[in-house]
Amino acid sequence: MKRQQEDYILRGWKIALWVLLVMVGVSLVPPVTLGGVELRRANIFADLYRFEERTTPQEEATPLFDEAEFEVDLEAVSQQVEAVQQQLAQADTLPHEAPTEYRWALNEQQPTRTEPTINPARYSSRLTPIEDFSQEGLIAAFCDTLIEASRPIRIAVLGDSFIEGDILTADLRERLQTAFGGRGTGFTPMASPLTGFRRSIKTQSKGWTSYNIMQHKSVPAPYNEQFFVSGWVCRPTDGASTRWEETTFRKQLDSCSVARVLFRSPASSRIQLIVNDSLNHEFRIEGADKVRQAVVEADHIRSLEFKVLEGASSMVGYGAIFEDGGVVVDNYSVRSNNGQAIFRTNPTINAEINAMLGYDLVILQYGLNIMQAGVHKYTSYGQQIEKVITYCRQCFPSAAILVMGVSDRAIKNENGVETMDAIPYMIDCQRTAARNQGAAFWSTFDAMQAEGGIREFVTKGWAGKDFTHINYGGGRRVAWALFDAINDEAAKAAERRKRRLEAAKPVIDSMEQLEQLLKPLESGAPTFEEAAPTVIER
Amino acid sequence: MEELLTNIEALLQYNPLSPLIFSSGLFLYLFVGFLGLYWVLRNTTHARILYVVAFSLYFYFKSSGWYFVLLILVATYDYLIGYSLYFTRSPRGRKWLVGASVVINLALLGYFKYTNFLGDLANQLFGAGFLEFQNIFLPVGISFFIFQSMSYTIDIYRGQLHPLDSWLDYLFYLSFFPQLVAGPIVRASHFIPQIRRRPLVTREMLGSALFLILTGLFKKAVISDYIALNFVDRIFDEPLLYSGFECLMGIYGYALQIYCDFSGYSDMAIGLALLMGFHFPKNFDAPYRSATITEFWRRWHISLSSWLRDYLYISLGGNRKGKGRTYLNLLLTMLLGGLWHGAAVRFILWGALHGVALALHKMWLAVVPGAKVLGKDMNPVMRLMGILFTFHLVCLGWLVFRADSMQSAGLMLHQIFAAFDTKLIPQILSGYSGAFLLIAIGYLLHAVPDRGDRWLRGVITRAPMGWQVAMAVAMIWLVMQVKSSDIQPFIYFQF
Repeated sequence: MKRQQEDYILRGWKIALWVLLVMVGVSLVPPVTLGGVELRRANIFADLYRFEERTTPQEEATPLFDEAEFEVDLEAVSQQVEAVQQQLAQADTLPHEAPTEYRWALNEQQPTRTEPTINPARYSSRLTPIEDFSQEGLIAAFCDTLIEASRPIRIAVLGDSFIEGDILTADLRERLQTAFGGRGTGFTPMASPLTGFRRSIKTQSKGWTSYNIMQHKSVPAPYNEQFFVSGWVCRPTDGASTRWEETTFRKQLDSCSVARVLFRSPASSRIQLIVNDSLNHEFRIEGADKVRQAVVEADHIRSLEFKVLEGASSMVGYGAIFEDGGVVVDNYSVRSNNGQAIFRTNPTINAEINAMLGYDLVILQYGLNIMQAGVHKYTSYGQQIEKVITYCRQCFPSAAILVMGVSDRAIKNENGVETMDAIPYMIDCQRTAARNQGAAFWSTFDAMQAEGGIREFVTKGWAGKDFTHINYGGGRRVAWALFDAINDEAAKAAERRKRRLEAAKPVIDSMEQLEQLLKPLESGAPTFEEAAPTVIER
Repeated sequence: MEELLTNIEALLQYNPLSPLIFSSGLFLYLFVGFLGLYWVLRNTTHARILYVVAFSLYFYFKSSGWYFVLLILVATYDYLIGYSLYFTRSPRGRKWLVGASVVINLALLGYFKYTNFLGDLANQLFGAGFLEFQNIFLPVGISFFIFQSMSYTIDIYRGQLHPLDSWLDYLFYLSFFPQLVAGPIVRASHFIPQIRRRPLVTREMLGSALFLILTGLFKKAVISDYIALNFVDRIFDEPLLYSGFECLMGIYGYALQIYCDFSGYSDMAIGLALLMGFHFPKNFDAPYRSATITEFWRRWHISLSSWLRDYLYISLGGNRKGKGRTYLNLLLTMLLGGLWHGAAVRFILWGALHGVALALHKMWLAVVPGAKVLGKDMNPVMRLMGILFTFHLVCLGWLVFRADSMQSAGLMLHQIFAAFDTKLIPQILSGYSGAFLLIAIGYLLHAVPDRGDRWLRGVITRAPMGWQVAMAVAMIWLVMQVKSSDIQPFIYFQF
């Protein structure tokens, strides 16, 4: 009996030993695919020894996307955009043209930009510079505008679910507005199932049906032909309304001085705007087949409500833009878009809206959903990215284009969580596309690596556990790195400006001397010095 | 070779980021080595005790570094207090001694576990910088071994236990590695008699041990870890990105995840102790089959709930001081029980919810004639209704327990009641098929009657050694496949 009892401790040990020995044998079995199921190597000694798995990179996976669905005729796009520009140029000469803009001014002063200050302090661990491949130096030109222009500077960020809900853009906006002036959350859609997730503005919508560009096949006509780069068209019923309320989620958001609502009203309609839940104004909209904007100017806009009182049947709503005199960052994120959904937007509508706004910079954030582990070739996707750049250039001719490289993404395997092997190849494809098209490139991956990479982001709670999507915390880090890159370029622009002013100083001085000499000859006419105080007083 | 040696050295070092857990490869290699020598030393009591203590202290060092000294410190003062208690006759002296033990233990627990929390709370109330101190490291398992140690001195004070003659034996009890970091909370009165007994493992014990370790591994490392990473965590992180259906499934998933994680780990601890000839009490007994909240607390984390009953509820006066006081005692016990789980308002709220529910149920039992405590005494319809009601009440508790903030919990409820979105259900089920399959398996296995458990236990016990090895290898292989499987992408995004 005693012997038998003792044997069971020994047997427990024997079992444990055998399990370990068998598992050592199992560790030698390489990964296999059985009946379509991929079985990983079960390496019990993964902590101590890692096997180098031989993987053969796959050819470009087929089909990564339906090319036919996203066919685009860039020549036709160009013609459409030109037609809009010609029409706008001739607007004054036409006998009667329905107004494009309906303005309601409540403010006492026009919004002005505060003088930008360049602060060289860095927010990220390491500078990830912008690589500008344009011959004209478009990023430098954008930064000249950023520090010098006395009008709003507009940035459109087009992306996928990575920036959904104003992730990344909320912090890019905060930094840019803090440094270069500006308030307001930028573009926000009229209605979408995701408005609740966005924390940089509160949206309450009633009576709208929202259509998403990714489901364009199931969107009824004529709504399927009216997409803007925002990716949403919203169809109202009479009485439909949307109320936006500013938040304190980030700095500079709690109030702004200009709000514009973008919509189309092919037939006559009647709309109402309510500011801060107190003042309201009605507009009768004359029917016309083009994008309109209802603009409110007030010293402090904290909330805005837009109501469709009549004529909803043919109307389409896009959304509102909240801004001030400075930097405006518009988030145009479309979930599961690899960039090509832009080809399903209407170039005329894009051009009409751009004519109202005038974008200075378009940032493209795509590629995450095309990338696949083991796929190292992205040639045809690269060609599509080049087309996207061309398309953006046609619709937003005044804007510099910046391609953001794909972000860091990790996958799980027998060695734990590792960076996806496809990333360098995707980055290479995006950088090449930017170079071929004379656009700029910024490596999101490098910026994330400088902060520890996606695994560190997950550990710190800055990214989701899919090791792909960042959250607001992660967005802040990436945005800070991008801001540093832009700020670095802006510092160079400030230096250029300073040199320019210094170079021009002798000319200005001699002009003043000349004026002094001519003074006795121009008796009675006010001099520059005499006129100046009047200008200031006014 | 040099790299291998460096890796071995790094692996054996203290690493706060990778505590030594039973489902790791390192534990398997260490345990194989440990058990062999344990068998050799089985007849030499002193050497065996010393050996197990040394291994346990190393086990603790691997997870908490030099804080293993704290474990030795607790063992020392409570051993001395226990010894003094036995020889002190005056009631006042005895009260002072047991009071000292309770105060020192709670002070230690309070310092390590609650200082950061109280500091944050004070800074929130009175402004940042009101209290400034370094972030205090939380030694792993401190809540478990402090409670164990308190049970020793209190039992001696109550005259229910003789103190140990040997300090080493007491250190053995407190540091015993299977239950050291995550319980069960083993009572001194239950464990101490087993220390010096020559270890005895019967065939049934070995079979039960294998059954508990393998099912524990399945619950912890297959179900819980997979559904947490691939489904539950993401919903609790950003509830507004998900439909009401996903939020509801997220809560059901979390209820299963926390059960599988905790009970799986407990089962492995009980199984490992059995392999060494030690019996631990059952810690979980299919808690979601409870038909009332009172029954739930007899089936969930039994070692904690019975500890709270015996040392807190009864010390507060239990039900001996009138009805009102009984309800208050229940509420207080559960509030403190909630706080024991961690230093956060959400744990206190969770405790309060259970306290109120238990008090209301006690009231219900007093007022409604024929009301039953246990499901087995009810008719089948009442029992089913009771199970569903209790399960959802417990889920509400888990929502509070898991959500980052009350706002986040509110958002999940908002999604469930205002944006359920039934038309998304097929897409969600297919997108998260792996997670939903495991959730279904988890709940189905939970519903299997006890005789199912007994049958499988019997099969494993009777199996020849080769089959036992094969079953263990198969389970470890499955765990490793799940551990290295692709992360389920966020289907809602599809990027």
